[in-house]
Amino acid sequence: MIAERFKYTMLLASLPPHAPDLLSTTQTPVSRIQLDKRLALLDARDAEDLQRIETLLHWSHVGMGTDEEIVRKSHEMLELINDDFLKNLIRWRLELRTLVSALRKRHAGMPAPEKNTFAGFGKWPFFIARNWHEPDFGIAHLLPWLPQARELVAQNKSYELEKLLLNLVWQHCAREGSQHYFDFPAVVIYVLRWNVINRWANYNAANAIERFDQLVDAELQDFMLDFGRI
Amino acid sequence: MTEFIVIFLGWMGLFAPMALGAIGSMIGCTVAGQAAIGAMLDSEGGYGRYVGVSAMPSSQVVYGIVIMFTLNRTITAEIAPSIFAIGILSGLALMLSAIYQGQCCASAIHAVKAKPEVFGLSIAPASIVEGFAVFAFIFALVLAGGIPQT
Repeated sequence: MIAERFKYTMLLASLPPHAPDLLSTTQTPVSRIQLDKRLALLDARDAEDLQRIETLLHWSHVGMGTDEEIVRKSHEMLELINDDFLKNLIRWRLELRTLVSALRKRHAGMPAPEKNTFAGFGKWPFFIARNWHEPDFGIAHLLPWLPQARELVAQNKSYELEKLLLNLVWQHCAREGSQHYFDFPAVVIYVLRWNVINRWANYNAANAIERFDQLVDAELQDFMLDFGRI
Repeated sequence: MTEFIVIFLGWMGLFAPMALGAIGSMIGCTVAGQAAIGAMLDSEGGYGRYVGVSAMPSSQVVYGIVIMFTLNRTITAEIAPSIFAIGILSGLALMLSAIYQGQCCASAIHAVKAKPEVFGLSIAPASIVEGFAVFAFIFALVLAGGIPQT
């Protein structure tokens, strides 16, 4: 038992800690190359599990196919993960995506799904299909963030929505990780939080580039106006 | 036969503080040592601190040796039960304290790596665990003094 709880003490002690607040973070605490070097200390079984988890949560895995196919494939991969705690952690994340996809589909004007036909994870597809026309699918009392997410989808504020969702994932990982210090779930939570920071930092970079372009355009216009006067 | 078992248990009790203390120290130092090695990979200095903290759980084996020598006497059926009880229970206390102290030390090293200024405070939990090991050690010695020499 002690061996399992402290299996990856060296690996985790060799990684810099994450900042407590996601939104004030501007870069990942360690590069992906360095992280992968440290992750080489994982044993084969855990390395496979981590790869499955990252594949499941990475958008490139979604690929082409119907929603039903994607959900079926994801369920199959989820079942291959050896640790129940990690299965639940990933299932929570996939349920979150199910809810956001429902909000987006409804906002896009898609018709209500027939009974029990909404493709997704966990218990929510049943409520989504049954309460399609209710603002928060009748589950806002269980998920306090849902009304805010619905508002942001309705206002097409993708950046704010992403900020809300990433912060939600960040907080959830922090909460779940509070009982795991040096075991395999702690490694997975570290990597998941690293991915969240990476996404957030990239959003910031994209924003910075966009702002830079706007400034350059504005300056060019001023320059052209000035040049025109000459 | 019964006397043989009683004397056998007496010998077990005699060696238990040393053996169990050693097992605890091995596990504790391993856990804390791994954290120290990991921290060295991610920091530019303070290596001596990490190694020093990781050695904290080694004191339990020393307490175990002292208890063993204090209990050491010719084992007879009359004194074997008391040696067994003091030896096994003090050994278990030392073993568990070393294991949990190792975990405290690993966490302390992990914290100090990120915030060197909390070094003193971060080893306080490990020191408190050490205090409990010292209680077990001292009172084992006090009780051992009451066992008659044969």
